[in-house]
Amino acid sequence: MSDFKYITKQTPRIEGKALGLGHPLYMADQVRSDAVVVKAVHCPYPFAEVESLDSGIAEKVPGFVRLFTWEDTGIITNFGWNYTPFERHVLNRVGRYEGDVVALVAAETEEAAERARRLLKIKWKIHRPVMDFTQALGSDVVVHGDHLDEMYIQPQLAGHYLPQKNQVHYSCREYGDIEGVLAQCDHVTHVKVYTPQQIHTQLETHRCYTYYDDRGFLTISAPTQAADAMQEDVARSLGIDRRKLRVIKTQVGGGFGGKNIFSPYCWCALVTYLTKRPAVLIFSREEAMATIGTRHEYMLELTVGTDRDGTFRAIDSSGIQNAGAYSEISEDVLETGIKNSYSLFPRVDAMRIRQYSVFTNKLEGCAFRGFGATQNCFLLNVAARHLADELGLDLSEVFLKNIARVGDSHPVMNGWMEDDPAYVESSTLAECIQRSMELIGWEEKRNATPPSGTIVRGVGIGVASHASGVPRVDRGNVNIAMNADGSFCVFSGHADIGTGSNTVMLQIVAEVLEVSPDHIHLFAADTACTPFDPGTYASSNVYRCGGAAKLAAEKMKKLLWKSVRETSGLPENEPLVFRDEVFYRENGERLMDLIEFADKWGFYWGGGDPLVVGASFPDTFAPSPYVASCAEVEVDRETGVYRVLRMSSAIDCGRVLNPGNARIQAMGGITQSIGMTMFEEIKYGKTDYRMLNRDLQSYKIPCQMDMPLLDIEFIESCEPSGPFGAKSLGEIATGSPAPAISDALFNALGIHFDSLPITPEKVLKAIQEKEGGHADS
Amino acid sequence: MKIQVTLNGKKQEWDVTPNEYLADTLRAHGCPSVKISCGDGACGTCTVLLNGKPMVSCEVLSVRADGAEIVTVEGLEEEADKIVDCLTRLGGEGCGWCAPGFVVLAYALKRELHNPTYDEVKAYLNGNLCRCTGYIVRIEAVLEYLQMP
Ligand code: FES
Ligand code: FES
Repeated sequence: MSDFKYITKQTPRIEGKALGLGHPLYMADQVRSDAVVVKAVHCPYPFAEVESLDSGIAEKVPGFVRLFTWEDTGIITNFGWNYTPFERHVLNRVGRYEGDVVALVAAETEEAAERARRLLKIKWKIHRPVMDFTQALGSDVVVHGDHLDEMYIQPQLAGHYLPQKNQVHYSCREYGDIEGVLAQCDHVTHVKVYTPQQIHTQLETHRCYTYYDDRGFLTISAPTQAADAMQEDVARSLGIDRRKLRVIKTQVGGGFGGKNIFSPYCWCALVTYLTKRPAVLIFSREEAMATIGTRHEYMLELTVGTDRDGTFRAIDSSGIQNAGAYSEISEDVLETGIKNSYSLFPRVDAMRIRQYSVFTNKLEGCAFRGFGATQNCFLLNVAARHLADELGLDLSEVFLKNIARVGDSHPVMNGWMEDDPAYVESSTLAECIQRSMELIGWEEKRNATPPSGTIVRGVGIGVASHASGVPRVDRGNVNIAMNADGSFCVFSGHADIGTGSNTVMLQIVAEVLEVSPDHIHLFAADTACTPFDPGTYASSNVYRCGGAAKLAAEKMKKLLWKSVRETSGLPENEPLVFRDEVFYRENGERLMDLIEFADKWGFYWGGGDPLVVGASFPDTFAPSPYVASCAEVEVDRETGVYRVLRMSSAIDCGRVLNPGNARIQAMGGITQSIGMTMFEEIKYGKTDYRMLNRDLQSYKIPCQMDMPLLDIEFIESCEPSGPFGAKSLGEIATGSPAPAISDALFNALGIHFDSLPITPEKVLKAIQEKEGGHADS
Repeated sequence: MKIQVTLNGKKQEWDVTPNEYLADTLRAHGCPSVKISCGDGACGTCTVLLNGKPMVSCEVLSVRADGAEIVTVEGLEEEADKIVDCLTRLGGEGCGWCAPGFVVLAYALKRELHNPTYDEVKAYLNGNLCRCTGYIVRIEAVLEYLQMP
């Protein structure tokens, strides 16, 4: 098909073997035995402050080292990127959600730390919390009311960020005359959806290991998604010179956005900073679930106005996002979520999107695979389904009529580059829709006459879009050096969080250099030696860092060939042949292989400057990947229990650079999204508001038996701006399962399920209501 | 208190506390392959062979392992190699955290089930959670492994 040698070929993970064999690659495998063990002291109520804290007995526990409280931390910070509001300290006297961390205990052993933590006597002053995010705006409970004066609000957020009203952000975009266009539409549909808080549930919980290295650098060795940003945040939070801090990324046991919150790293670094001792903090499963962050909860409404044939004319959306107790990157999730999802339907005359983000006393929302687009895509799909139903159209037709096509442009796509129009440069979404339908057997199944028994089946479809990075903000940076042994080393600041991006980076460099990946090393990421990288988020590793890797490799190739000519005494324009990693003259005369070159170049005679290059790739376009998925469900009408029998997804991620990786990324994303659709949701007690499901027994994630048959196909496009035509794949797959499954349930039962998760209880209730003559749920 | 075990074929004597769990003890005795994700038996990443049977080691008190024969991935040698090869060939790893537990389970499966069907393999692997891969590739990897001599 192609004459590529390394990209597009199934290439096993470079770490794959070592991971499978359990080699000590993760942080927990590398901790020194003299490290003090750190335990966090959590607020046990959704909203409470410490009135008094007595550590007298705790300090008597043998092995107790030190207690750390808010008195040890003065600077206001945010545990995240520096563009987000600073609204907390590393430790806080006030707990604004259950799980919030007020103090830390360090001890010589795990047991001692645990005992000391339990023996702390804390008197809490309990405040009434605000839990319902639809009631939070302007509520008399102000989540940050007690310390508004000390917060730092970045100038660009002023006006939108109003913590005195519990308002984290307000986004209002208006394109065209929405009221006017809506008034002219043949048909107007209105829908309302709800999406819950979902927990990342990486199997490796959050953790950090810190120590002073031999030269006195405070070193953080941890699974992180963003080494450079974390370095900046921790240094700022501790009030130390960033250059005295070093971050080394270890193998990450799952990220999904949740290892972009920097709190554990700040806590652990604080202990080392104040005790000068190595320290280790490993969250238990319960702590990880109740402390770190969640997918943002949303309540969204959409009015869509169309022509009689289902052509969208106007899209008017409003809604609320629950930021939880701290804003972190909620503003970004809100804005980016809008951009990445509404870009799916740009062919309208008018569009208006008004969404609030609000504070509550729930677990804070943070980045989670899909980043606001998953929720908004669900909304858009639900609206399309209602509309198709009302107009008597096939939902797939509605999609095909309205989706973004190559050449389309709309200001909602522009993101941060307000006035610089973005275009769809590549898309196979229409083919993806058709293919996913073929794979599921749409034609015969969608309109099949329903059986009369209790078991019914249905098929449904969903579509989604995302982005590849953040346009005009992010850059990928890669350095490549040639080593003295004739191998190469790639230095990159990106974080492979289990997606396989390390391997793909090497495939790209190998392809350009025409050198086997086995002869290329990779360093990523260590703030002491890898170039700046904004972090692994926004599905950007392959597009952005891969883009930089390609550019750097091209430079290296040029430099290498030039140097080979030079050291062979050949003129600058002498054509060379490079075959199986050996240089020849055009006449077939063998010149040298890479080892011979390195020897000649690097040793005492005749050499030159070391071969080192660097390149930067600006994420100018952040092109959209697309997906269409079909689902087939089987429902038991008597119990409401349903199973997803089969899903077929067709994906446009640009060119597929590593087929095995790509398939796993897609399957993993779909699986996580099946969890969100069917059962994953944080539950809080009705009266005490305590988080009810905070372990893997009570918070269920999809297991092997939950899996439907999955057909994944890639319908490649060639993205002109991407490395070898690649776009991205990290998040796109999460967008379509919820729409597809809820549509399949609609097809099976004739009932719209517009609120997630769609539990059997909800299904049963809706069936009973329908049969009892009530309206659809 | 002292217990004696055979770990990956070698006799060992360990000093353990009464409330120590086997997963922690194994990690402290040179088995980084044993991963702890939940600590309450819900995820299977700490799966080891205890007297030949796959067990979640985070729920077994170390004292109860006195006299037992324990096998972790570190002790599976060529078989582990084969299973991991099947998995990586198919691109079957995400973050890798769950992989060693899966390898132990796949090894046990081959010894326990004869000519299993796709669905039997699926059911056997059910206890071990993975948040990255979507599971299906694991079944495929096991089916390939079963074909190997
Ligand atoms: S850590 Fe043992 S089952 Fe989860
Ligand atoms: S590969 Fe990450 S949990 Fe399985």
